[in-house]
Amino acid sequence: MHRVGGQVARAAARATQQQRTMAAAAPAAPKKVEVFIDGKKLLCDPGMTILQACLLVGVEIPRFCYHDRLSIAGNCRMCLVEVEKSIKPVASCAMPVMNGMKVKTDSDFVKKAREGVMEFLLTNHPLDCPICDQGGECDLQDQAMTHGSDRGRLQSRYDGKRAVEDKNIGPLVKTVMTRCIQCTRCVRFANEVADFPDFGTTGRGSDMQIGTYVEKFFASELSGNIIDICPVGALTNKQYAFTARPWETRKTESVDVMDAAGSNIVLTHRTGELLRVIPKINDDINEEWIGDQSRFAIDALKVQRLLTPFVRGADGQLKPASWEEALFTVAAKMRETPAELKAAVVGGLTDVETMVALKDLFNRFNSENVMTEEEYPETSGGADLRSNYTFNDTISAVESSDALLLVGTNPRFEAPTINARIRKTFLYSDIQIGVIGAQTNLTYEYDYLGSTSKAIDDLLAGKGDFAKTLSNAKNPMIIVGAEALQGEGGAAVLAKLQQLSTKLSKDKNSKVLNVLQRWAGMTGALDIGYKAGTASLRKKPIKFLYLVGADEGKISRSNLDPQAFVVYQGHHGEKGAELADVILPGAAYTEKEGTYVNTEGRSQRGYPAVSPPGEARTDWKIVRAVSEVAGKTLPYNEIKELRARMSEIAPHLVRYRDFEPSSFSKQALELAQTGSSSEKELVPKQRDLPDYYQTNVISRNSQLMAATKRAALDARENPYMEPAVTQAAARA
Amino acid sequence: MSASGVVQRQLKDDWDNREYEQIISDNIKNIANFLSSFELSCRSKLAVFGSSSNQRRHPFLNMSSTAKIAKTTANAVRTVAPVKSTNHKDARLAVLQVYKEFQRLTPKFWWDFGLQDMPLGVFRAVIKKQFTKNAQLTDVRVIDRLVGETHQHMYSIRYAFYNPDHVRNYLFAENIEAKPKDFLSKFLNGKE
Repeated sequence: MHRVGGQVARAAARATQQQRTMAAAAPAAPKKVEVFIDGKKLLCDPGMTILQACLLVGVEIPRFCYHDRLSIAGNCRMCLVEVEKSIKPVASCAMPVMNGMKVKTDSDFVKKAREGVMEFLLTNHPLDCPICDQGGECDLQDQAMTHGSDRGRLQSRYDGKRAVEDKNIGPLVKTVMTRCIQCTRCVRFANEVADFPDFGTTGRGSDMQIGTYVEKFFASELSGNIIDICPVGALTNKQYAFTARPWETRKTESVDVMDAAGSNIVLTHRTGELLRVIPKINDDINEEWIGDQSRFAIDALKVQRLLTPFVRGADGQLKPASWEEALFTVAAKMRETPAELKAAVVGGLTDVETMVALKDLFNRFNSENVMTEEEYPETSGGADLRSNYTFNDTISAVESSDALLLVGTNPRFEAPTINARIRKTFLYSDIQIGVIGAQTNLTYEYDYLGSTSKAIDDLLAGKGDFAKTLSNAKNPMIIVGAEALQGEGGAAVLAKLQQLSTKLSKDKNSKVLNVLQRWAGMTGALDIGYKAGTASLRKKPIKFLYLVGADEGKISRSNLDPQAFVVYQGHHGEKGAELADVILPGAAYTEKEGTYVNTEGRSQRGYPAVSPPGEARTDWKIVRAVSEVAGKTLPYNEIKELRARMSEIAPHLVRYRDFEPSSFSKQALELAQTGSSSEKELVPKQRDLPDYYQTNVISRNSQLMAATKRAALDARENPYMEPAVTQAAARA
Repeated sequence: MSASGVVQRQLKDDWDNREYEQIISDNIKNIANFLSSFELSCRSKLAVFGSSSNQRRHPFLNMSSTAKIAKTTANAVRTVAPVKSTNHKDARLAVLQVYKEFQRLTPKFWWDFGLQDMPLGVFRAVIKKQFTKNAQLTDVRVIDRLVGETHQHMYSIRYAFYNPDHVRNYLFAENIEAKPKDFLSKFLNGKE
C-alpha cells in the first residue's frame, strides 16, 4: 500500500511549492526564461512547467492527471509535447521550462504520441459511455474525440478487457473502478486537501487499483469533490446517478447557504427539478471545492416542505388555508398588538431582502424588536461596529499569514472550504497554528493551547511558546468561532481577543481578529441592524411573534405570553412551524433570488433555479403582501426597488462580489468590556465528522445526510479506521 | 457537328445569363438589406436624438438652427414606411370601408352565431365600440394592421370558421380573465 502520510505530503508539497514560490518571486528578479511555443516567443518565469507556459499563450495541452490545485504526478502521459533536441516526447505538466527551449505542441510527432497514449488508455477503459454518468462531461470522451485514433489494436476476444471490483466508500460517492484511468487525482486530493491518507494505490501496471485497501468510509467533509476532479466516470455522484445528461440540464449560478463562507455553486436543474450542486470556482472564497453538506443536502428540498398556508382553527389544529385567509389573519393580529409586544426573529438561512422587508414592516409599526435567532455579544459596540462580527482580513489572507490562532471553532466543520485553505497554507508554508478549544483532527498540525478562555489570558500575558510565535509573526491571524462568543463570558472573550489582536497588529490594514460566523444570513442581518440573539424577547411577554426560518428551537411557548400569536414563515415544517398559529410557506435558497453576505462581509447574489413548490412564495414578497393587508404598504413591488432600498441602508449590500473592509476596530476595543475574567469553556459543538452532516433545517431533513452521518458513526467502529483524535495527536 | 456546337453555345449562353441574373438579384437583395438596416439604425438613432433634444436641449445644440434641425428630424422620425396606406387619410378611408362592410354583415352574423340575447341595435353598437375603442390610434401602420385583422375576422365569420365561443371571446372577452395588475392580486394569483 502506497500511502502519502501528512508528513510526506507536506514535504512533497513543499518541493513543488518551492517551484511555485520561485515562480511567484520571479517578477522581482529580472531573469525571465525565453521559450518558444509553436514558434511563438514567450518570456516566462523560471520554475514554470511547459504546460503552464503553454496556457499563457493560449495553447491548451490535453491532460488527465494534472490539476491546478493538486501536486504534479505526471503519470497519465497525455500531456506529451515535442521539445527540440529531445529524442523522446516530454510530459509537459512535470517539465520545467528552460532557456531557449523550443516546444512543439501540434507536430505530427506529438499527435502520434497522444494517439498512442489514448489507445493504451482506451484499451483498459470499458466501452460503457451510454450507461456512464460522466457521459457528456467526460475528459476521456472529449479527448478521445480530439486526440484519439479511430481504431485500436486491442483484440478483446483474445486479450480480454481489464475489470476492477467496485469499492464502497460511503453513501455519497459511487465508484465504478473499471473506468478508472489511474490519474491519481483523487488520491492526491485525499492526501493533500481532504487529509484522508487511507486513500491510495495498490498494485502496479495493469493491476494498479485505487482505493482504501480495506473497505472504508471516505471520512472527509470534502469527499464530494473527488467527483468533480475525476476526469472519467470512475467516481460519480450517487445521488445524481442515472438522472440526467449535461446537455439536457440548465445551470444556474448561485450561492451556498450551508455555512457562512458563502461558497459559489452551480445548480443543475431540469424541468423545474433541482438535480445536483457543483462548485463554481471563486479564488476569493471556496477556490474549487464545496463541502458535502452543500453538495448533497439538496434532497431535503423535496421533503417536509410547507406547500400551502396553514391557519390554526378553533379546535387548535393547523388547517390548510388560502393565502387570503392567512394574510388577513396575520395582518389583523399585527394591527391589534401594541408595538412593544411585537417581535420578529429570523433564522440563519434568511436572505437579506427578506430581512430588510421584515425590518421595514416592523419599523412601520413602531417596533424595533427584530432579532436573529443566532446569538452574538452586543458589547464592544456590538453590531454598530462592523469589525466586531466579520472575518476582517478576508479568507484568502489566510494564505499569507504565518501564525494562526483558532479560538473556539472547528473550521473543518463550520466552514470546510476555509479549512481547506488553512490546510493548504499549512502544507505550503511555515504557518504556525494554535488552537484554543477542542483537540480534534483539523487536518493539520497545531499547538493545543487549552480548552478555556484562560488560554487567551496566557497569550495576552505572553506566556508560552505560541505567544512568542504570535508576537514574532509578520501576519498573525486570529479566527474566532461565533459559538465561542455566545452566552456568558462571550463578551469577555471578544474583548480579550480584541486586546490581543490590537497588540499583534503590525499593519494598519490587517485587523488580525476574524470572526467565523456559523450562518449564511448572520452577517447580513447584523449589517442591516438586527439585534443579535433572542434575549430581549424574554424581557417582555411578547404577544405577536413573527418567525422567519427560525428552526433552531431557541424560542419556545414558555418564553412568550400565554396568549401569544406566532407566525412562521419558512420552507420546512420543523421546530418553528410547530410553534406557529399561522404558517406562511416560503422559498428555499434554490428557489429565490436573494442576497447573502458571507462571514467576510462580502455580499453575493443567489439566483433561483426552480420555482417554489405548491403555494409557496418568495419570502420578501410574503412580507410585502402582509404589509399591504396590514395597511402599511412597503414601497417596493419589485426586487429592483427593494435592492434600491437595501443600498440606502448599506451600499455594500448591492456591490456584489466585492469585499467591503470594516473599520473602527480601535474604537471597538475602547468600548470593550474587559473587566470580567471568568473562565469560559471554548469547546465547539462540532468536534467529530458525524457532527458535520446535519446542522441546519435543510440538512436535518436530508435522508442522504442522515445516511452519511450513520456511515460516519459506523466508521468509528471500523477497526481499520484511524481514531479521529489520536490521529492529530500522533502527528503533533 | 456545327449544330451541336451551336446548341452548346446557346446552352452556355443561357447558363451565363442565368448566373448573371442570379448575381444581379443577389446584389439587389444585398443593397436592399443594407438600405433597410441603414434606415432602421438611422431611425433609432434619430429617435433617441430627437427625444433627448425634445426633453432637454443638448448643451451643444443651443443655436436655433440646430434646434430646428433636431425638431425636423424628430418629425421625420414619424413618417414611416407604409404597410398599405400611405397617409392618414387613406387609413381613415380603409377603416370606414371595413366598418361599413362589417355593419352590412352584422344581421347575418347576429343570427348565425345565436347572439340574440341582445337586440340587433345593441349588437350593432357593440360592433361600433370595437372600432371606436381604437379611436386614439394615429400610427398608420397600426391602423392598417387592425383593418387587416378585421378583414380576417369577417372572413372567418362568413365561412363559420369561428364558433359562438370564439366570437364571444373576441367581442366581449367573456372567458378571458383580466391579468392581475397590482402587487397583491399578482401575489395571490401566484404570478408574483
